[in-house]
Amino acid sequence: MRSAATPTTDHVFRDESASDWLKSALRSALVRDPVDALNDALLLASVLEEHLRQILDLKS
Amino acid sequence: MAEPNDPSDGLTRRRQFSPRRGGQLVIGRLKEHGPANYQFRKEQDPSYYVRLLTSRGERTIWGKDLERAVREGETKPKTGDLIGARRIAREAVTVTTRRRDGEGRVIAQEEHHAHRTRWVVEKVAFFAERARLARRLRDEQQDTSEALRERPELRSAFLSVRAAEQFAAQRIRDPKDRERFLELVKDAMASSVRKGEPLPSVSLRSPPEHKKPASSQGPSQKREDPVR
Repeated sequence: MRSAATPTTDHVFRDESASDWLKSALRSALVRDPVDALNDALLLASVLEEHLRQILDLKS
Repeated sequence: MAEPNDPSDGLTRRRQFSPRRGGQLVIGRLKEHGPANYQFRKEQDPSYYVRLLTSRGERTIWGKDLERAVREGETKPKTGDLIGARRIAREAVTVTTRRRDGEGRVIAQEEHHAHRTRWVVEKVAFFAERARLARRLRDEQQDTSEALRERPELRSAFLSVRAAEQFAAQRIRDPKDRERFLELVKDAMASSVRKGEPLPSVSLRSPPEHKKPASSQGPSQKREDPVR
């Protein structure tokens, strides 16, 4: 079995391969209410997935 | 989607998922994958699982063919990669169970019917590239030879469309029917390319040594049919 651990916030900030956009979003999210921030992040993930499906022209 | 009885032999019949309905593309970050008994229950048959972190949380998909799909994927997906997993075909299989006596003689035989699903597991970039190629295939203004120089793997798809055009020209009189037929073929080919399905194997025939009389057989009857 091969598995990938969930990275911590410190790991993301130190990770040179992580994008500036992600670091900036994480920095601004960490000062918000954590439940609101996670809700927004989940919504953002859904919206971005739908955007990707549009690009792939796959509506499944 | 789950296939607790996923045998590995006795293939009898194969069905493609409808190009319109298709198998759902599951998109997510590959968290882990490996062999395990189905649903991690010890009384279940050995299977293979792929666990993804999707935008809606974790999702685990099961299927014996997933092992091959991950291992043989064109983009060699690894844990941590953003991947897509899609069922591309469902094969009906018959598994024969034989009971033997102490001396190895068959004393009873039973046949079970089951299904085996074939998967494509690739990095999402693969599906994005296939989507681009599908659009190119659909683009009638595209210069075919230029496209084939850039993407030689599209040759079989172009040849299938070309064969369909020849078939339509010879066999379908009504221009509207001809147009409709070609639209369906192009849609099916573009859909296969977009979804990452294996492309039909079509090879160019060598020029005949002697000119043969015209055959009544259409081009599409001389090779495997494209995806319907």
